[in-house]
Amino acid sequence: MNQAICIHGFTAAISPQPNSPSATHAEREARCLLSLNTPADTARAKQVLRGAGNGQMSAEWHFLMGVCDLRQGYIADAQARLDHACILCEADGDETEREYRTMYESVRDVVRRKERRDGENGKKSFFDIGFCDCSYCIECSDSGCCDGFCDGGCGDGGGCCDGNCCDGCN
Amino acid sequence: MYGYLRIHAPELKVREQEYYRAVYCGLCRTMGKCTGQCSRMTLSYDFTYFALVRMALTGNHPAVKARRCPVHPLRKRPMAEPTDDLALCAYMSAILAHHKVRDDLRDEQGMKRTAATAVAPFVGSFRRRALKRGYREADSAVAEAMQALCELEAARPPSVDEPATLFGELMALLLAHGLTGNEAKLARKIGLHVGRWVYILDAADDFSEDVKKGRYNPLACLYADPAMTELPDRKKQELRTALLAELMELECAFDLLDTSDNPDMDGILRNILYLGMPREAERVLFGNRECMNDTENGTERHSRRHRKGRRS
Repeated sequence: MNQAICIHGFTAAISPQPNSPSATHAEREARCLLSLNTPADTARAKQVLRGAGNGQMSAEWHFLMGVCDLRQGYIADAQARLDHACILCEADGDETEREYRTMYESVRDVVRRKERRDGENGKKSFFDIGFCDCSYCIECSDSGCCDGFCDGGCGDGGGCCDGNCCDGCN
Repeated sequence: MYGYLRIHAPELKVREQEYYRAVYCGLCRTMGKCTGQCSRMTLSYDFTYFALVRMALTGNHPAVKARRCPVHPLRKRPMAEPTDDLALCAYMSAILAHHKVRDDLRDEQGMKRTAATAVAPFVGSFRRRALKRGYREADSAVAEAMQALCELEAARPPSVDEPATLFGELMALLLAHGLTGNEAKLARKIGLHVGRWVYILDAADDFSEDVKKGRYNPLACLYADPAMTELPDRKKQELRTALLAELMELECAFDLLDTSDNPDMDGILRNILYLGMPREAERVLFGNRECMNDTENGTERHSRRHRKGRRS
């Protein structure tokens, strides 16, 4: 199977030290490997995690697996695992959630940043008609959003702070 | 195939739309010539897209002539003359149709199985014509890839990207057949990401129905939540990001394609990439085609973005 799809921009750097004191040996080893940030080490980390993935997996396991997926270009899988890690952490009231949450948010930010760059350069963009214009909402966060330029992305005049796509405006 | 790779017609120039129609009709005619008249029933937008990409890769653009066809006997329509690229797409379509039907016969139940049984002899004959024309190697490669995908799906891994990658590799194989050097590399990259995009979108499209009927769906395996009968908005947003990431990669590949000798082709391919595919994803995930159809609205927003750029 192709192990290196290589989607640009999703580097997902992490520290070698786990935040959670309850991290298992496999999770520590995987984190060390992932901190090296090479394709071979990412593949090895995934193997280590898969080997340890029997029964109930921890938030750290899901997080590390999500990072592996992200590096291999498996964006849908990565987001699902990172989200699951956040949910597990929230349930436990764990402080490591912040790292997990930041990583989860960063996935969407890569796409947003690219769109914003294209918009500024006048380049054609996938959001021109197709998608709700998230990047636009982030831009207007400085200047008091909903100032007439921002109309909820889809052009429905609904205002940009109404839900899913526009966290940047709050 | 799935029919997700469509143009966004209101944003195409008239001559681009004519050219697209000519390639579509030309592919249909070529299928009739190469793999038999019945094979024209398997014509899809996806293979029209593949034909356009192949032409852009090889630089062999077909001549267009006005012709009549059985479906439109009264008025002549612009039609691309058969070329090697169109013939290849016709043969590949026949091979893929055969393996898809064989797959359905093995896995499906009820009406789908009955339908597969009914069409099996026909698609078998399409494929035999392809084999006679020297596509035996491609046929074996497709069979192998379909088998690998089938085995992976049977194992039900908690992943949508793993089977999507296998499907993408299958598309890469079809698109890069017979190409060498940089063209082959580009074709593989385009095939891989188009295949992954189609597979993920199809999984999202079928999610509710598959869950209801207890069928395999990669997203249901990934989320592993028995209470989830429909995709929640949060998951739809995640999928939208994943689909956009695929489009970003496709954009990189298209930037390397030299289509300077045929601006119409370039316009069509960019229209599908920037408007057709995102719009189709939006429709499947959020069901708001009306919003997409409002081209005036989109144009206005685009110009607003430029105004904003100037202001800052």
